[in-house]
Amino acid sequence: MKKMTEIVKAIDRLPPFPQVAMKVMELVKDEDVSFGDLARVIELDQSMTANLLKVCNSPFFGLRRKVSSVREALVYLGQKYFMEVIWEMASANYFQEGQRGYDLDRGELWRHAVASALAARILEERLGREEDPLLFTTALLHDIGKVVLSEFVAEALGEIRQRVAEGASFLEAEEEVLGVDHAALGAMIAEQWAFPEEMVKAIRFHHRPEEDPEGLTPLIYLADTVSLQMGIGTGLDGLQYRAKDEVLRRFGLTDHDLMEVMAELGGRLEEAEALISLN
Amino acid sequence: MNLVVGIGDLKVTKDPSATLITYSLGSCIGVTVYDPVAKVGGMLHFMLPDSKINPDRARERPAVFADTGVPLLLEECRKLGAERQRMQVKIAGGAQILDSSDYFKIGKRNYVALKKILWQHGILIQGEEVGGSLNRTMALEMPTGRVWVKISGNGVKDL
Repeated sequence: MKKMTEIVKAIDRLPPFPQVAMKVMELVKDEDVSFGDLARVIELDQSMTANLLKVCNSPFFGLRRKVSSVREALVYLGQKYFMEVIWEMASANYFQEGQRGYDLDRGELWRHAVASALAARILEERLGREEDPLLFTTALLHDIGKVVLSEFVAEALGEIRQRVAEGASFLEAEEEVLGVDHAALGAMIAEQWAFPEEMVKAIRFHHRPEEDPEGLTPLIYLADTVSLQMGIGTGLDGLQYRAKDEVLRRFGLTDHDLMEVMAELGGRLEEAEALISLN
Repeated sequence: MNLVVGIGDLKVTKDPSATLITYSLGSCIGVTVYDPVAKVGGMLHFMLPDSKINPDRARERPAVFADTGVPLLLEECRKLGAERQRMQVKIAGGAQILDSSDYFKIGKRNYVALKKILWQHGILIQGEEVGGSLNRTMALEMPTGRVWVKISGNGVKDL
């Protein structure tokens, strides 16, 4: 397992996750948090502040008056949307570059991340659930393991594809050949970044929802599957992951519901184009 | 010149130097039409079988669904001078995740719907590369009418 040690060590090459994003998530959980407190956290980070103002003043929001402070941005976006935008800004950089091991060009995995986050929201609405900020952030980061694993997948591609040809899923093949798959590796990264336990778990099991039926995992699994099927950020691993009917059954959803989610996601992605081209 | 066809989109052309191309067909299906006499080409990248799934969306973007997208593709080609009897239709995509039962068989549903619609229009499929679990890119080169499919990591295949 020399390979695995090398892969785990490669996690250290990722820049640390922006602390402001974590702080904002913590603060938002508290219903009594003031806009002033939230704004102060962001203002400490100059590049985050600059980016936030840039996003708010982009044609996407079509504001008549220029937003010139974090506080104004907060008033305009509202707490929930504010947190989503902050997390998108914190995450985008990790995904932007291409992942050659998965044959993904620049920006494709980021598009997949945003599409999955939007799909998770649509599913949440359909199921009449209360909005969970963790669901959005987890969907956004569920494939963080691919960012690190990509170069190792590239080196071992022949062997991985051999296993897939013999009947393994791409995930199983990663694990068999490299000692770790992109989901497990993603969970290690999430742990190192001190993400909440629920997030770590859902990243770890996003292809094996049966391991965490009560948590965030089943919705992350469905959101990921929907964007993969639509071909959004689908690489050479393609759709070579296992279908889990029991997840849909448990939620009382059918294939028709999934198709409705796909139709709606198409429209929402067009609206979100400005956020996708962030940075 | 590459004319890129997005998800839920269609394009037609008479430009002899153009290549119609669509990337990343998962469970979606790409449909190309080529008339070798009129030198007209068209491509559709539809996502779902039936516009009843979301009629509002179908009005906005008919190319998202097979039942609204395919007739529109044929009509747009006709407007440029293509004739049904000469149309060469080829298709690619319709993949699905592993172990799919009825719950996740969207690729299959797309394929079944497409075949029915083409049959109703009296059109035979002349080449296809469908099913499986891989991601595909599809292109139609003008003016030769060559259609090729690239399967992620598996090289290029002519249809």
